[in-house]
Amino acid sequence: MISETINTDVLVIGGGLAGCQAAVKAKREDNNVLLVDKGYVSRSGQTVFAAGALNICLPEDDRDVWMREIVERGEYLNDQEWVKIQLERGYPLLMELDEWGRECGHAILERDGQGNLVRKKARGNINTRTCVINAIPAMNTMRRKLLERKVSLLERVMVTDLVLEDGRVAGALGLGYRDGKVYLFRAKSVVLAAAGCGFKSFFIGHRNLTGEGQAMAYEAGAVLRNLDQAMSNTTARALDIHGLSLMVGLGGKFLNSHGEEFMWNYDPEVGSRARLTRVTVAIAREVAAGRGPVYMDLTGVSEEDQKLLKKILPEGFKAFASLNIDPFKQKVEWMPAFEGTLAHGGGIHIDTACASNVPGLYSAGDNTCTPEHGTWSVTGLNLTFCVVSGDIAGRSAAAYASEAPAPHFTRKDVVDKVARIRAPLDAKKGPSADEVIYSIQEAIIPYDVAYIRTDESLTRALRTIESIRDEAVPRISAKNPHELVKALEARSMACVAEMVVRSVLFRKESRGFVYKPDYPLTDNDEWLKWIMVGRDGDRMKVWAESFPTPYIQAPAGKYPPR
Amino acid sequence: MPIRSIDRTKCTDCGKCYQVCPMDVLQRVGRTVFVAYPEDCMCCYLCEIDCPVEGAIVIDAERSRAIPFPY
Repeated sequence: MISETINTDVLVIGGGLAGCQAAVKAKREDNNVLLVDKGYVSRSGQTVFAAGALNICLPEDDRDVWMREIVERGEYLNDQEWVKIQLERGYPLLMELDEWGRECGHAILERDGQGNLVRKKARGNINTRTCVINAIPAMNTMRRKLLERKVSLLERVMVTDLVLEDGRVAGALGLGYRDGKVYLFRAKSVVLAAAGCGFKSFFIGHRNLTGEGQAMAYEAGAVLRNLDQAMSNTTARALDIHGLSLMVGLGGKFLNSHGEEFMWNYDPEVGSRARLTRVTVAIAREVAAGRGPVYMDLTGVSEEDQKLLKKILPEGFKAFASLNIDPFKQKVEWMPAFEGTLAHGGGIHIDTACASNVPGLYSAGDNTCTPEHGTWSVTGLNLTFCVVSGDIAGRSAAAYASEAPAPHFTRKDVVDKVARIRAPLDAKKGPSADEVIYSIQEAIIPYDVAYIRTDESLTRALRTIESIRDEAVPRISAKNPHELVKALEARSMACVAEMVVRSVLFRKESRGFVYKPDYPLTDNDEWLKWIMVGRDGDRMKVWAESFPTPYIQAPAGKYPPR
Repeated sequence: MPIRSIDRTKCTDCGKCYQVCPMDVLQRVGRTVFVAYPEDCMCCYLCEIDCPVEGAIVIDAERSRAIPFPY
């Protein structure tokens, strides 16, 4: 049933900014690197829809001040060594990317008339600043760089499973999106850069990111972390839009039904530019208090900044126009948009070499636990992290592969996994993937599960997800490869949903995206800990771990979430 | 509706939209691209942005399928 077997030294799964960077950096004269993507590289993943915010600490900036701001606003859950690495390595690596763009005529970083980087105060920034990246030219550049470096590309193939041998990763299995072919990959090392799981929820451009990279890592025994901080952004209620960070950075305001800019009550320092942790919970609380609906008001944005927004967010402004909405002339109803483990929100627990606990398995970008962020720090960290972690993961995976033995497993060893991939094609009477996906969304998107959380509402959601996992997912029926892909997406989504809900339930305090009226305070005495998830046989295990804080110390005691 | 149609009088059969669609909404028979799974369109506009002909692809931004609201 396997149509094709491909051998490589390094296998990179996922072709967004992090995966492309990892593949480019893993490629040497003497090795083979294969990048596999579910879509078309440069038009797949989150980066192409990135809303332009990029956090670059320039040589003239004070790194200590930036470190303090990022850690304080990440509510002390950041891996501080990673923050340090990002502050040091972000600038040279992004200058390299910008130069690659110039070589092929693309302007990646936005510059003013004098050639200086445009820098703004966007969401969450106090002393830190946000540069502006043009996402489509950046991804066009990365595709060109992959081809120039002779990285092999395999597109429209969804990788579903990792294969282990002698306790280390030795390959993977994938499914052709359009032809239903099953691919077997043998690799000496693997970089997972396939993002998190967005649960096909609201928000623009994310509905093919359904958590395979995190679910297959869990299945293979990797430890994941920070899934309690599964996140939300915000969007218009009527349509999917992104770019909130730039919008509020350029003067956008959140208003409640009384016309009040209510965010000043939740974050007196930055108001509507508050971090997402604050904004999403605040919107839910305003609505619960009877002051909904909530609106985004862009009517005060200057003409010059209107032009910048339209340039950076072309898809979003086309979407507004198609519904005859001019957001610069009328306020627009807004709501929280659950994004799960996308953009941030947890993933594979990595060290500073991007290594997981599974030998030979590395991770980069949003597939990881996004260690630089903590809960959710200042805006623009994500894309910088893609470039920095991609660089490190690619080089680490290539070094590991140069020493590792060639995998020797055969098709016979993966018969069960292949049968599981193809099972929905034989299940004639089961539910459709669409039905199962909707039931997962119904379990995790409601405000009492995603925003204002209680042990009771989370336990109810968990029971529902367990029932979907055991009774619905194994019975999903698919008629063709297109439906088979969705069936396997539903499988990943159920796994990530369970990891997220169990992790949120485990944290008994309020911090970041975890807001619990029953545990209203941040508790640094008991809960300055990372929430971890791993496999214990067939059981999902959740635990808390203390971690080093070498540069910035959290205050002791309990206090209202900051 | 999300992606509504491809205007046959404007389409040049270049296949770019088929190549870039992240959701596999578009299929191709010979050189002709058609909208096979409109219910899976996520209104990301990549097909329209990469289309070489103005107005050949018509999209409106209504969500293609129901997603449960948070409240």
